[in-house]
Amino acid sequence: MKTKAFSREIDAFPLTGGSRRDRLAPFRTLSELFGQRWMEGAVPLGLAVLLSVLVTATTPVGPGDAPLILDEATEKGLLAIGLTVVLVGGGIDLSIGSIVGLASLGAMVASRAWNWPMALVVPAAILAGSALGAVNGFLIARVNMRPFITTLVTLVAFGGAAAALQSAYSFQLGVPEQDIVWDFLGAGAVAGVPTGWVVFAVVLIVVHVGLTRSRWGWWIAAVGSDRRSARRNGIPVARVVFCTYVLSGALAGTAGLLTAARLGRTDPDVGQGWELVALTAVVLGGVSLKGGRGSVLRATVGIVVVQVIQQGTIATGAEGSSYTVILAAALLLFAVLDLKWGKYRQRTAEKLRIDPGRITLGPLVDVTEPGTVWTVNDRLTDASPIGLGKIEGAEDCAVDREGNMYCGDRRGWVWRFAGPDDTEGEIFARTGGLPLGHAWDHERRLLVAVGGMGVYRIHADGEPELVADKVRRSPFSLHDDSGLRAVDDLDVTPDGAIFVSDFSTRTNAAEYMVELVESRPNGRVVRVDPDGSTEVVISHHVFPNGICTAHDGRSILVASTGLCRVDRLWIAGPKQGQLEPVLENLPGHPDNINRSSDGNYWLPFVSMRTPMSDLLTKYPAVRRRMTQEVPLDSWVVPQLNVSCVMKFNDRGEVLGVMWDATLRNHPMVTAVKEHAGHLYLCGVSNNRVGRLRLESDEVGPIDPASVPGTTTAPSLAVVDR
Amino acid sequence: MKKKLTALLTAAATAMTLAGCTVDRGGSSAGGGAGGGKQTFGRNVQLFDAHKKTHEAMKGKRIAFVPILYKGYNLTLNWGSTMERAFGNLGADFRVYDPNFDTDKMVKIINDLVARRAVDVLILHNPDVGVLTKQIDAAERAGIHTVVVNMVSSRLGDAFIGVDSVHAAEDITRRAVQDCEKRGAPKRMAIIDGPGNDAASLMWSKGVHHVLDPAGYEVVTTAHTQWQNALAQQAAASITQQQKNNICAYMVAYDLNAIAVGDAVADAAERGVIRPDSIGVYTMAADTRWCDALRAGKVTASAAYDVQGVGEAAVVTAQQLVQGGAPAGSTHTVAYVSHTVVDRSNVDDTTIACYKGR
Repeated sequence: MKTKAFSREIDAFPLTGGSRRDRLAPFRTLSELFGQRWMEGAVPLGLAVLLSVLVTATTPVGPGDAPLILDEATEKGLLAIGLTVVLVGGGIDLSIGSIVGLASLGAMVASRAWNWPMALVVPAAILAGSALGAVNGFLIARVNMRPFITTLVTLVAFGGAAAALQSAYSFQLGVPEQDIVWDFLGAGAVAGVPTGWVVFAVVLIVVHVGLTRSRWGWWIAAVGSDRRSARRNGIPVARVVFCTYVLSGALAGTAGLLTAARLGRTDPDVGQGWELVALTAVVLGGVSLKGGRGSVLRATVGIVVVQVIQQGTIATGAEGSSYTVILAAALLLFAVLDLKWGKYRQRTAEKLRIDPGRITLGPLVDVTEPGTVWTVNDRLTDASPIGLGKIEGAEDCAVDREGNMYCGDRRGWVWRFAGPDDTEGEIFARTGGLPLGHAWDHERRLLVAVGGMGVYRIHADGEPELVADKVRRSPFSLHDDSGLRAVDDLDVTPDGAIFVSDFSTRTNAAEYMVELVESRPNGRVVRVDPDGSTEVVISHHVFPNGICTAHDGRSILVASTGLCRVDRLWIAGPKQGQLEPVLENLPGHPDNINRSSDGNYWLPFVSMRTPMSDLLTKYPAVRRRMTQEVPLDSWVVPQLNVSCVMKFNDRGEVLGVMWDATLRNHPMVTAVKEHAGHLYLCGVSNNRVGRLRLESDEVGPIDPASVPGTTTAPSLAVVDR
Repeated sequence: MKKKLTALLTAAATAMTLAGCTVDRGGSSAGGGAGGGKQTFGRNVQLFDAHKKTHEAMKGKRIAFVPILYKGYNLTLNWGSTMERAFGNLGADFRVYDPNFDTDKMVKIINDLVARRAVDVLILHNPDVGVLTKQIDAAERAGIHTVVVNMVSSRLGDAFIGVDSVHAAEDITRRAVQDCEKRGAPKRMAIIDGPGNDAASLMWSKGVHHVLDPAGYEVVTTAHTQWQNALAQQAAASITQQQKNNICAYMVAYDLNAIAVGDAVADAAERGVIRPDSIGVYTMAADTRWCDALRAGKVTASAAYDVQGVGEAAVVTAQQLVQGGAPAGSTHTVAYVSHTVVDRSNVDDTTIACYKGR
């Protein structure tokens, strides 16, 4: 009997009884969107691009202007790249405009007045820029001056030097020098692409790769984010800061050289005000003024937007000063946006993260009413403890043929208790996660659903081996749901596939309270094939928890803790791939399901419904406020401290219910395993595993631990279907 | 990482080498057929036909005037208003673009007009000898005629019209030398020009030196003002303070700056730093305000040139270029307007002196 691949996953959303609108979680979508790292720059950048689209739509600026815009963007873009690096490093460089002027005039003086060969002028201009940057770097990194005031002073100083240079050589400057290198830089092309663009592209790629992929780039971001912790992590802060200014200066020098070649402006105002253009561009591009975050690619988009705006003012023949006003207004607007958006983005994302949904449960059965199958009793009270005080939160356990009991522990361990009389036990394996569901596979190897990690197989020597920890990511999802993080219970089918419940694609296994309160269809059931491939078989399920292969091996029982129901997923036969209800409207929230030896199933409740908890499921807004304003341990949730185990059959009939009315020994039962006439009671918040002797009439001939259809034991599971 | 980077760089370098680097010298590919049209007139013309044809030729032609500064600047306002009147009468579409002393912006305006082919004739006022070279090239390639006024550019364009700066400077310097000799003043003068990198300043200095050097005069300093009155006044004040009476004249390249220099000199005389009327202030062109200053005795003399004539000549040249039908950049001419030296004795009788903004 081979389980064929399902044609498509079953969408369990209709089980919630919600409308199509309930499927959407708008707040959470917003939270996810805000939580994306790229959102930091995306909003300012999106607005900036919108602005430029607006400009192109309302002014005569068109495709014909593209080369002009790119020419301008090339030179100022180099400044923007340098400024981005400085800003990411936590500084600011206002002197770049004057460095451009000094480098540009210097290059022309060297060429026209001193008759230097171009082979010397080109590197000299870039080196001069670096040297001026080094002055900034020295003052800021070594003398520890404030970047803003330092570069403001050097802006004036370098500007004055440029004016003095121009004045001293104005006569010689006025006479253009013909040189092939000047022409190549200003009007040449490499493979048809203008030289300036090529220079810019090379710089852009190198700096982008450097900033995002190299240690050097990470250092800059680290220094910009938090100097103190960068220093404590051994990053040479002063050197990194120094280097950012040198780079900025070198790029400004290159820009100066390019503008000298392209325009040949020889007045002392060359480069004046360019720092404002570059600054506006990087802020428009979403580079944070607070340091630590920014991308040269985005800064490049910013500079193009700024140039488009400028081209717009020129093409419309607007008043000369209007461009400066527009630029300043844009800078102010986007600086405020940077401040507020950066501040509130994370906060909002965090606040909107839990977005409770509405689910509809049927009328509540009153378990306190005497004389019903549900009536509270003390059957569980006398269960003898195993590992008392040693175990912390065994959510599930597994018992082998020899009677050795293996159970999880919230510290990440799997305990092993040798035989029924061992109460001391030993740590059998260390998983590193939160071991939840336990099951045996065909070869009698232990399978554990490790919350936060995935499905593991534990070998006889206690060595865990990963079976599966991811599925294919859903397309068009902002949220990465590929990881199996909240795996809870699992079971094996006759063909060797493992079915595992992943109760939430959003929260971690330890955050089950959030999931219980949110009541959204975040969970899924995944099939892990023997070859390790994974497939989601049921999606959009509310807190799927217990998983149990039916006695005949043709279906899987799936308990939904959130919806208080159990469904049967057919994996073989004519109904294969269909989900049909077995138990609905249970009085509590069911947990792991396991087979009993008499052909039925054991099902414990992790908590019982109360009129109050039922009321809350109808009012998601109340739960939202609760999660936002009240600490987690004060949330109103279903009654968690109960111990209730029921037995039911394949037809969905409740055969019996066992309680520990004292709540003293087993306040919460999350899994029940039957072995050799005994019940093992596990609880995720209990400090023991309970062992309860069953009456002889409750015990049947089946070995519940073996995979159905693989043993010689007669199957009693003849169900009317 | 390092290896990858090296490989990447090597690959990029190789690609570039293989792709080859090119230089576009622009000027070599002159115009082609662009801008070339039929000549408006043949050898013979009918009397009324000429009127119609002239208007037809200019109708709807887009003409742009891009001076270094327009608003509040009498010199360019004078040219602009002449052009506006003339082109308006002819039914052409005339527009002034004002970069407001911003060379970057001026370049961008011209680039934009050329890229969008938004103009048929460009009338330019170049702030810097070299700076518009590529723009003039691009305009020629786009079939746009260029007329450069008053400040010559290293790329000539179709035509240059303006004052003969060197000649004017020589004339006024001769006058200054005469005045200095008369007073028996020291053979020392100072030049105050514009930014110093522009055609007007360069030629002014050249003309002044042409006369002064053989006459045994010394130029004590050449100060640059960026055409700003405040800077001119500042320069004159400090030179006066340094030189006291050991200087006989200021040779100021621009008439409005000369007023500021005159103020500084008058101020120095009032404060007793120098003797009254011991320093002459000479310049080129004669704005109405300069004429007022002249009448007030603040400035001495100027090589006044026909400012209005420059505007008129630009209008004429533009019409000739359009009617001539030759492709843009196929002809290159330089033409000068008249100039003459004016002082208090003849300023009110000289028609080209005391120009106005409109």
